[in-house]
Amino acid sequence: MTSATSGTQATFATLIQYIEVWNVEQDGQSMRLRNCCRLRGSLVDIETPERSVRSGEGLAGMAWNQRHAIILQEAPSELLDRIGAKNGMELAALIAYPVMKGQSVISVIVFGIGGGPGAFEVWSRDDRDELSISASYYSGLKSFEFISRHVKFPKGAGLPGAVWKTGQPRLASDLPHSAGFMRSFAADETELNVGLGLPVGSAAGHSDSILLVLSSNSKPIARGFEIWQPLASSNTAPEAPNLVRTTADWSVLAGQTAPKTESLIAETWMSGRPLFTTSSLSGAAAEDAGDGEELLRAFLAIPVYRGIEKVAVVLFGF
Amino acid sequence: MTINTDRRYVEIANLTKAYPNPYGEPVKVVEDFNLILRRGEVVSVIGHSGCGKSTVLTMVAGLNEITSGSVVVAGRETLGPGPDRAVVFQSPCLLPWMTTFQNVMLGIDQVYSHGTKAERRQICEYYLNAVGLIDSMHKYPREMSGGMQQRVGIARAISLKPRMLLLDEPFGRLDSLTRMELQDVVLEVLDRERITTMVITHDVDEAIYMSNRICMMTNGPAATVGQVLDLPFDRPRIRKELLEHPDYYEFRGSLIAFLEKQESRKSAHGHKATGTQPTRKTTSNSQPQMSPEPVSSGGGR
Repeated sequence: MTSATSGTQATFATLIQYIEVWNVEQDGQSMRLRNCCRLRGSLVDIETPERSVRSGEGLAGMAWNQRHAIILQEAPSELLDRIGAKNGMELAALIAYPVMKGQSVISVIVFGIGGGPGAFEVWSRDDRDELSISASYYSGLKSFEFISRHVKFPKGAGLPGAVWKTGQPRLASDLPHSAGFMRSFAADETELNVGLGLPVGSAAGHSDSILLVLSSNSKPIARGFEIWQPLASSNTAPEAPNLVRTTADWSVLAGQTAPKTESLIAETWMSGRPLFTTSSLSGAAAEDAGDGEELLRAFLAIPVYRGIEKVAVVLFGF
Repeated sequence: MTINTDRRYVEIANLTKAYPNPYGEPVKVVEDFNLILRRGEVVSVIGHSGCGKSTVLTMVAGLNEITSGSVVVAGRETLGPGPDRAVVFQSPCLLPWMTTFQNVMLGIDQVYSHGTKAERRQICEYYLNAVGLIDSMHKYPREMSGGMQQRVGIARAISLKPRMLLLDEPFGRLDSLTRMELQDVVLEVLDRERITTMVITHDVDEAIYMSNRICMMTNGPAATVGQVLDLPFDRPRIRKELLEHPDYYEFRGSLIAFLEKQESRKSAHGHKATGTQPTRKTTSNSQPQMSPEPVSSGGGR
């Protein structure tokens, strides 16, 4: 196990407190745990334990097998308790998000969620060709949760509908005033600030389901989010296009310069697999780091595919 | 009728309406409007005045040419107006020189031309009775109140036994008491006849009371479906019970908040900022200084 601190100012916690990154092996028979990390205060503990599962085994194996995001929150849950106790933390929910290339799962990311206002929603297509919630985790959002269970989005409508239509991740900031975010929420829940929609199983032009992450200001799910996409007019080779940061939200850094994430994004794009690291910078670039870099403990970069084509990299900063 | 068709009885897909601006460029009033109605379902469409609600309705009715997209009713794509879709507008549009009976018979004679005169008369009386006008069947429009005239319009529409009923703010001109009375009349008929219905309204309470679902439209131009609300209340509805339901005000609050959000966006950005597509721009709420230079994915860390 390795421990790292990334700045003395990093004192406030994020809702995501635990992350596992699993990669499906080349032979497609098993999935190996690449990273396992705990985010506690300013500390990041990273482990790379030798652990593998087969399709259907454990939460990550279930997400691999079912090819859609899974939310586990039922109490008592043996798995939730076991992971929480093992890592010395009280987890309220576990979310498994499969990264798919075409119809194949190539990686699974498991998020362990602590207490605090926020929401994770899985939106799936129903028999009316609308998106409705098939699984969810809400904390401190009673009114929003109630309404959300009765809301449906046709293709293109709202944040989930936009992700479904385009097959691309979408980030919406300032949710109460965002044009892309349709649902309204009660006055006591207006601290919801950022919404991130991630497609799951995005085959040519449409997604089978969408994972929606809704983050608050008081205890953000992550401290920042970025979406990077290939430059439309890029003349470079398809395998190494120029990537641009199309949307980002680092509002919780309040006045600090956003971290430099370019090299991590490029590496993630090239590898085609999710990457977790305690620094977004490499070598000499680290000397040039901004304020935001010092505030952040870790980064998770996730490639997004539409069919078998890479279309974006989504970054979580912790 | 197969069960599958019943579950997708009316399919409105990517419905778009564009008009040319003074320079001849198409301006989309409604864009990619998608909605599926089950058989017998009542769906309200709400949104601000001028957002494009009635444009959607008239396209579904076949009275307004569709720029792109399609409307399928009971498995058949519509190619213009037809007796399978009946419309009731805010104004009842009765022929003033005809009695109530004659106004309703006008449609019945067309649709049931194969029936005998006695049979057609029986149908007419049945629907006039359903809307409470059997005693006024020989009155002329000028002899009736606005509410009674609207009842004639409703009887005329449903007597055609349409597959789909389209109501365009049907109670908009009526006083509150008459409006509530007429809502009950219409709901009773719809529950009995199981007619698939789209109601255009901007009255939140009317939408909740009458509908199984509420489709909320964004402001135009390029107005579209913002979201759809599934109402869990059973039908037939009893107004008093509904108003006392603990969830009623949650739904009502949500609808009003949606409309307010649309209104504030309209005020803040004029007519430019609409639609559901988040713009692909940097949304730096605070400080992040976005690099204008793209990063090549070819390099490692």
